[in-house]
Amino acid sequence: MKKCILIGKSNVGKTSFFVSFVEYLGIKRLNILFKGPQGGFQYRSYTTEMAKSLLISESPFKTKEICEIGISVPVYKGNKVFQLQDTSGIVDGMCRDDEVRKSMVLTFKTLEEAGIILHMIDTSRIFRRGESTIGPIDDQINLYGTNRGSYCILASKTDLEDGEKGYELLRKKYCNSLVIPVSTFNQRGYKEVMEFVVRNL
Amino acid sequence: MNLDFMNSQSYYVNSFKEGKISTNEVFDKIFLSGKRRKLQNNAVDEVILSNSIAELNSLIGLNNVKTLVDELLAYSDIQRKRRENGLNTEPMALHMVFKGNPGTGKTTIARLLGRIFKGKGLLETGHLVEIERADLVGEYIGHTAQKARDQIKKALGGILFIDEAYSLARGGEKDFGKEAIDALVKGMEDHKDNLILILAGYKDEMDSFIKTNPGLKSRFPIHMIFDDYSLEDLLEIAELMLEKRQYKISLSGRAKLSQILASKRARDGIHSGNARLVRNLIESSIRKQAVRLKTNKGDHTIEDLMMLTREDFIEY
Repeated sequence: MKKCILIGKSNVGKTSFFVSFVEYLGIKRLNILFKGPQGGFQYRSYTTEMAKSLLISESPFKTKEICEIGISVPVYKGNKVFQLQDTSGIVDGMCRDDEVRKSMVLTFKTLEEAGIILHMIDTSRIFRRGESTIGPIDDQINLYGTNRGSYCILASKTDLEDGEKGYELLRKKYCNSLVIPVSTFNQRGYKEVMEFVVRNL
Repeated sequence: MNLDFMNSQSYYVNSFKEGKISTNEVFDKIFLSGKRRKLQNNAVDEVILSNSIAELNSLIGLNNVKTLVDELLAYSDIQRKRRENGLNTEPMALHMVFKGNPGTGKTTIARLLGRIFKGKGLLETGHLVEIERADLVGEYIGHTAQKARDQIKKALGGILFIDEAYSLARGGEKDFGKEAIDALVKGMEDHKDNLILILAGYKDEMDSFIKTNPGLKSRFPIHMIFDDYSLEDLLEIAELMLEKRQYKISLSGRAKLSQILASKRARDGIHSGNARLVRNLIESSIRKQAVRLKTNKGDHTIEDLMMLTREDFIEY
């Protein structure tokens, strides 16, 4: 089964997208496989509401494990299946927290094995000083992704103020890659993401 | 796969876990191998591109080469479009073999290709490093690999052009030429997105060279054959060269030149030198003309200074 990874800096909205995208696909009950940094794993089952309140948080590094969910989509007369993986965010530069570093290693491992890469960048805070969401690590992921193939950028939070401006900037900056604007607020771009994933299965 | 990945990179992963190196560093090491950093982000340079394509089209003959360049340019355009639309793109290996007799334009084309690829953003600098056996093969064990690596380093971002490449296989099993081939193959695989390797030489020798080294054939997908020029082509080349140097040739001079070329070709066959023979003949006739004008005392008109006549062309 092909694996489709959501990757990006911390707090760009990976988990929000994960839950809301699964909801968009009509899956009522989320059976998520959690893979911990130590190698342990565990199945848990959530309703959409539970998942939203338990998995998503305002503060960075909420997701410490790899959350994996099997998805099946109808294509013509049959079905295609893939696994969507939500990962722990990666940060630029030196990181002081041991736990966070371990989960980043796990993210790298998952990236290596992934078949499709969805690279998420927050559009709403690109222009805000001091906490800009675009960093060297994004360039690195982009470079890796464009050379690997099956790679696209999800420009998240486009419904927020400055979102459109950020999306335009992303399109210019990464002109070699496909950039899809998405928003968990109004489900913008979900159809395009679905089409992109199916095309690469 | 997974184990492999963690083992080969485990040193960096461990230092990262211990908090000794930054996220960016570890990402570079495990995913970008520290060296693949610049590829594919080279900008397209329209000026260089259109100039060099115009120069290519002004060359006489070489029709198959021109077709191939068109193909490569179209391919890279479509790849760019595909990438923009999120479709997969395979980086294409552009290593080539040039087969042809001396003076058929192999080096000229290699130099032009460098500029075209640079203009297209396929290569970073597009310079040409021209080497031969002596630049690659060392004197003692281990020397060769080092020498080959140095040459590759020099050529990164451009084209490494190996003239008379078949001579690397000369000298039998114990010759260091084999070692050079291995080192080159390694280098071209490692830097396949930022280096183009061109092997050049006589057609028959190159064919048997590639046949005897099975690893080479699949690694050089593009084979270009440089045919000998016809007599008409050579005369056209002569006129182009004269035009560039602001000289003219009289009718009888042209007949003499044609006669010399024909007899040289009949006598020397593949070693006649093709376009290089034309260049040498023209350069010697220019010298002869200078001597002739100096001995004829008196004023020289512009016409005199430009015109090459029958007596200036002498077979050497």
